[in-house]
Amino acid sequence: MITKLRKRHRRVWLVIAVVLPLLFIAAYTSIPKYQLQESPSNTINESLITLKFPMKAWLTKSETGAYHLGLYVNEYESSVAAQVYLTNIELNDYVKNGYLIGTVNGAGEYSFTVKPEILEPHHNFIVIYDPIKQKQIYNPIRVEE
Amino acid sequence: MSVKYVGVLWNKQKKRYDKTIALLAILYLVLFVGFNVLLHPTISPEALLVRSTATLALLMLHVILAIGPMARINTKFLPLLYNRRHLGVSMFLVATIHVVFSIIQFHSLGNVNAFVSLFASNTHYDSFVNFPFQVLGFYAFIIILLMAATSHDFWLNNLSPKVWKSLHMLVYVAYALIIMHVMLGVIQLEKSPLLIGMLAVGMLTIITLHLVAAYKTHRADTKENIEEEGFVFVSNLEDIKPNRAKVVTIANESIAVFKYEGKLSAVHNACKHQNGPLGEGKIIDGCITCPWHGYQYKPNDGCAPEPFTEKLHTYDLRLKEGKVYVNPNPKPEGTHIEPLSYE
Amino acid sequence: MSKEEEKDDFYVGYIDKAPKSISKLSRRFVWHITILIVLVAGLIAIGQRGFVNSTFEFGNVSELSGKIYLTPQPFLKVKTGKDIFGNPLYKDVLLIGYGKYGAMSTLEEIESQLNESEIDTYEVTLAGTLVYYDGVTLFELTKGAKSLLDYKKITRTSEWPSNKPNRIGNITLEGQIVDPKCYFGVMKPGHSKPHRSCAIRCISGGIPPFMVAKNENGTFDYYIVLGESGEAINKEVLDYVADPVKLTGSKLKAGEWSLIYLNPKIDIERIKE
Repeated sequence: MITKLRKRHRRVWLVIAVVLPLLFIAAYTSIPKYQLQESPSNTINESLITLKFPMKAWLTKSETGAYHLGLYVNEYESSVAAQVYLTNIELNDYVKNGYLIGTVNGAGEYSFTVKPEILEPHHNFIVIYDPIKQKQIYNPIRVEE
Repeated sequence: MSVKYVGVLWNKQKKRYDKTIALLAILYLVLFVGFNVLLHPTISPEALLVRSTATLALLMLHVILAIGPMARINTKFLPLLYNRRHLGVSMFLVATIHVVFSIIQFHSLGNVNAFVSLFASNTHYDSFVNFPFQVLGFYAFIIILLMAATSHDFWLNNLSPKVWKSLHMLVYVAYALIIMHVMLGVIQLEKSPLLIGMLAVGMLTIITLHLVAAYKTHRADTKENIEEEGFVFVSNLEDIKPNRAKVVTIANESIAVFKYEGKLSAVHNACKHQNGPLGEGKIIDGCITCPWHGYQYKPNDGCAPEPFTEKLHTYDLRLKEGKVYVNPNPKPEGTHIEPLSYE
Repeated sequence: MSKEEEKDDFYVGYIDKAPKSISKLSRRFVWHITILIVLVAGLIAIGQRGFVNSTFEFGNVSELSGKIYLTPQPFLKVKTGKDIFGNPLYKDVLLIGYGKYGAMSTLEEIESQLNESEIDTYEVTLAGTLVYYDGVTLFELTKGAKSLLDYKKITRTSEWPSNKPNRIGNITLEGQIVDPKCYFGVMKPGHSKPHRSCAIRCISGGIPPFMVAKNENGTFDYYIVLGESGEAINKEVLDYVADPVKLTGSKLKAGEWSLIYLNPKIDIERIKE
């Protein structure tokens, strides 16, 4: 390089060496602290964060004697629509032969009212089914008493 | 150097250089896709395309910007410089995929033209942190596009080496724009210290290399000259290695004094091709050979061997008590000066 | 070659063979770059925050049947069965246009193909591309006016519930305004600053703005952002898209949709840190 060019290079890099790191730091410090922290697994409630499970289901009886099925969807499997069936997984075609008790939309907690007559001893599994794609999503999970 | 222009003057070294670039680029893309699919099975093909090409182009740019100062610090790195333009054009091609796909993805199929959308969707031009970062990337791309388009020696000669070098120095502006494109863009969401740290290390490495190289040459350039009757001291004769040169800088002009076959000759230190430092070159087959791209000149008259037409200024020399002196007033380009014999 | 000359290696690019010491250094440099490449590719993959399991069935056209509702924003109500109490179950699927457009202009074209009466008096079968994530499903009318595959007049109107919004109460939300098409699947990530320009383009093209807000359970709620009387306010929210914002307004429910009605001039606030 000729001397003039070297001088120009030196000046340019002296400027860059000062300005660019400053801008870099300014950009770094202005990263918003408030951010959408969505992640592939939406984690619910502090107490449940450590638990690794996609879903959890349990049955409760209220004071009035009505039965409710509680459902936590922790990791929401991507689906077009999602219906909740209570069924006996030993049956053939256990989705069709199960009881459709409601729908879920995304991760979160759900509660479904259930009729006592469907609480047969072996109907103790929850199956989530996509009626539009016509396929089961998640593995069946056992209802906790 | 050639009297007529050919697409690219291919030779074995160039082919090897290009093959290496292509293989390494492919290796990076394969690894990037592989690691991501493994670690992030839900990544989309679009995100893979945008991010793999972005990061590859940025990595290549770092290598490109490191080669120059590395070759100034240690001349053994000069082979990397010789075909640096090929690396630059390759980087441009990778960046083009990133830019074209991003514009299609983020700005096309909307209610205004994609380029209007690029500039007019985010209007926070008055804000630092909310500045439309895509615009920064786009300007950097325009610079790289101009550089790639004028990378051939045809443009170098038509624009003159001075204009060409100035245009190609804009790559430093492009580099700064790209760093900010990343920092004000994806880093505002992907704020992992690992990513920010890598970028910072890359940036500081490039800055340090340039400053070290600049300091090294600056010291040589500003050495005070000893003058005697209009002649300036260059070096002790014994300090010039055979077939090599010593350089002296007088009022911003550098002169290279070569020692060969028991003789001494002096020419202007800037190669006509790209202003390469002839004084770091070597006499090969009786000709001064530029360390950058191998352009050649006869030492006694500064003329390129036939059929080439480049000519350098030549200078009068004087030898006194084993000390070499040069007259800083240049002779017209191509003037024959009888070499100074010292044997 | 003498010893001294051997040490004084010099590289000329157009000579086929480079001197040994120089080619050795170049080779070593290439090896270093190779290691750097492996490191950079690996570390970037590790450093990224991850990608959600949203889906855009690009290139895969599906068919959906149901009734089109035009308020609060165009959507298709799809019957999915009856529960144990005999209540009909539905899935509400937001309709959007091809590219960065809402569904409205496509629906107008579709309506002109129907026999005089309005589009929401038919049960239709539409072709399009599904987009879905976290319980929200969208349907892109990829083929424009050709998206209408079949239609028949609705005779038993009782089968289709009215979708009048019910007011739930006042609400304050903290989160981000996004365009649902990208957020729920077309782009990863489809929110925050890197995606701002695209979201602005989508919302100004008629795709309804959605508010994404974290609820007390740590999951996200999604609200369609509308004006004080339920009118679209796409233009008014553009400047706030992708920024952390606080919205104050009325919460309403319409079918599966949660809505927030607000005055864009006073009820949207940037969250300052």
